[in-house]
Amino acid sequence: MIAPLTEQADQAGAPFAAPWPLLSRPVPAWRVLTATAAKNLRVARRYLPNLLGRYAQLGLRVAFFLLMATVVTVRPGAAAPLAGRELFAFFLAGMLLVVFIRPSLYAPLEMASADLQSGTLEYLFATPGSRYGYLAGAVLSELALGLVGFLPLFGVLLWTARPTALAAALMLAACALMLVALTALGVLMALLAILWRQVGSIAEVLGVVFEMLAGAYLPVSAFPAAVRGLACALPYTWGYDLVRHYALGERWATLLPPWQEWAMIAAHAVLYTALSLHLLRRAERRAKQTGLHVL
Amino acid sequence: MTDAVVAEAVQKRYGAARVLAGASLSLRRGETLAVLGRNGAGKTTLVKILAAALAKDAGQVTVLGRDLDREPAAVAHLCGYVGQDSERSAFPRLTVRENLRYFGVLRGLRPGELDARIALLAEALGFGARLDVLFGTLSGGQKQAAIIARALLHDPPVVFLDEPTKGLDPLAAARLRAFLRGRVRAGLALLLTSHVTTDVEALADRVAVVHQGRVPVSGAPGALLAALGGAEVVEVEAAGLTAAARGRLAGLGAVSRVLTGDPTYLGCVVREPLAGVEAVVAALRAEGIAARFRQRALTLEDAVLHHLGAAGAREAA
Repeated sequence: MIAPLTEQADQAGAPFAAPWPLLSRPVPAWRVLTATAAKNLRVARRYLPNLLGRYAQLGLRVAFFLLMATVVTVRPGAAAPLAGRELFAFFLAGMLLVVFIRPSLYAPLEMASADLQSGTLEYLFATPGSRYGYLAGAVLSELALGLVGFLPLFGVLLWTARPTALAAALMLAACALMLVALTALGVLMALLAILWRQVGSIAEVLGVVFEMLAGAYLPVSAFPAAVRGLACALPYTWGYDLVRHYALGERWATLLPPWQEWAMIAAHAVLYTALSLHLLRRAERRAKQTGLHVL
Repeated sequence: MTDAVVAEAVQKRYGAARVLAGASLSLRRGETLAVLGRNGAGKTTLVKILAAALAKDAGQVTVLGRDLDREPAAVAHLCGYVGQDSERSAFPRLTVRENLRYFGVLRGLRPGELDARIALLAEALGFGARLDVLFGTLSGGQKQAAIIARALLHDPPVVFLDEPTKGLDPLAAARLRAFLRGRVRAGLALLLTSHVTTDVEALADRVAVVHQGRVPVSGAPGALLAALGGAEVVEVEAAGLTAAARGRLAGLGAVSRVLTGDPTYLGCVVREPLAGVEAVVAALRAEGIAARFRQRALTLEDAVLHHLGAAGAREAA
């Protein structure tokens, strides 16, 4: 005995016939994003030694830059040389974003690679859920994990640089805006894995180049003009510059007037988000030509 | 019955290799269609395309009247899918329940209905006691059961299962078959591939045989069996079964078909059990061939192998 047809309508209002009411419903991208981030955090908690290792790595970096600050002087373009406490603040401002940048760039890529191998991506891409939400969820969980490193670093930076309350708030706002662009870049990196499968080495190179170019460790103003041009295409450059501007005040000369740097980060965030959304659809179509389960 | 899935002239290439060369099939509501064929025939590729896990090069697929190309999201809401070798396709460091909850959220299930569906499926598929252990610690069969539960979590009206009982123990396989039969009776359209004849015989209302990227044969199992002209097979084992001996057997009035085998084995489908055996024995004696005989019922596997052979011969011609 076959159940009578149930006339239903999809979200566009078009009717179709199914034997019973559908349980599968459209899910907003933010719901996929938060569910994926929660899932990743739960998994990360179960790999505790790895999590601790990551914070130990961050601690080592901070110690290294503290040592550097005692023996090195940096001359950031036209501004006065930075040394000692100010140089440590310069490095800390870079580290603040490095805490987020590296894992956020690699996390979606690693997740996509692992899901290709296990067949999970094939399943997920056969469901109606938001692909962007899924990949961005990997970034969100990394950002949450990064906060554990970010907050003490930010505290040390405040203690070292002694910015005003407004400057500290603007530093946080610059970081937050940059994270939107960072999410889009993370999704773009994941697309490399979806299209070309094994891309760990390419991602590693890109990550290091991005960090170097954007001025995580050296001021962009010290680079040759051609390299500075490339640096301007990265949202991090403006993030580092603004954070250093608010941390060091008059001691730091920004590449552009601050309001223009804010506009640059916002423009990058919009541009990269639009680009990643567009390319994600194309990458899925292309990847589905060869299949999404790498056995 | 209403067509739930219609695939027309589906084509797919992987580089220079043509995997599907115009495969067509249909699946109705309240029906189970078993897609059979040799390894590499294109079954898995066809299922992946129907489930929107793989893009086709040409052809058309509709699911409950929705075109897969024009309305992929609408089709995805209607379908459940278990791919081949997908028993690892969940998160090993989450429990089974956490995995199912996560995938259920991605499908838009509400918390209450999600927990109810998890409990129902875990009970039906026999892994209720393992819901709160890490997915990675399950046995292969238990993982497969959980993956099947994931495909059924949103109670889809159309389900594609590629070798669903692979790795399941006989009890778990029987449970799955019983559950699926119930849903099919309620109107589920089920398409499965399997090399396990028990699954096919227990579930399939119709069989589609994929051969060299096409579906040259499809029909009810009974019809495929009936096309062989008998219900019993006399198996013959002998050294030196010559072409002449095969020809003689094929010409016997009591034998409707000679199922191809190797040089030391063949099967004769006989029209009447007793008269058929006598005729086969007498014919081989007349050829001076000493043989061992065994009589058994004709199976769906015989029918599929025969139809595959016939399809191959037509292709060659």
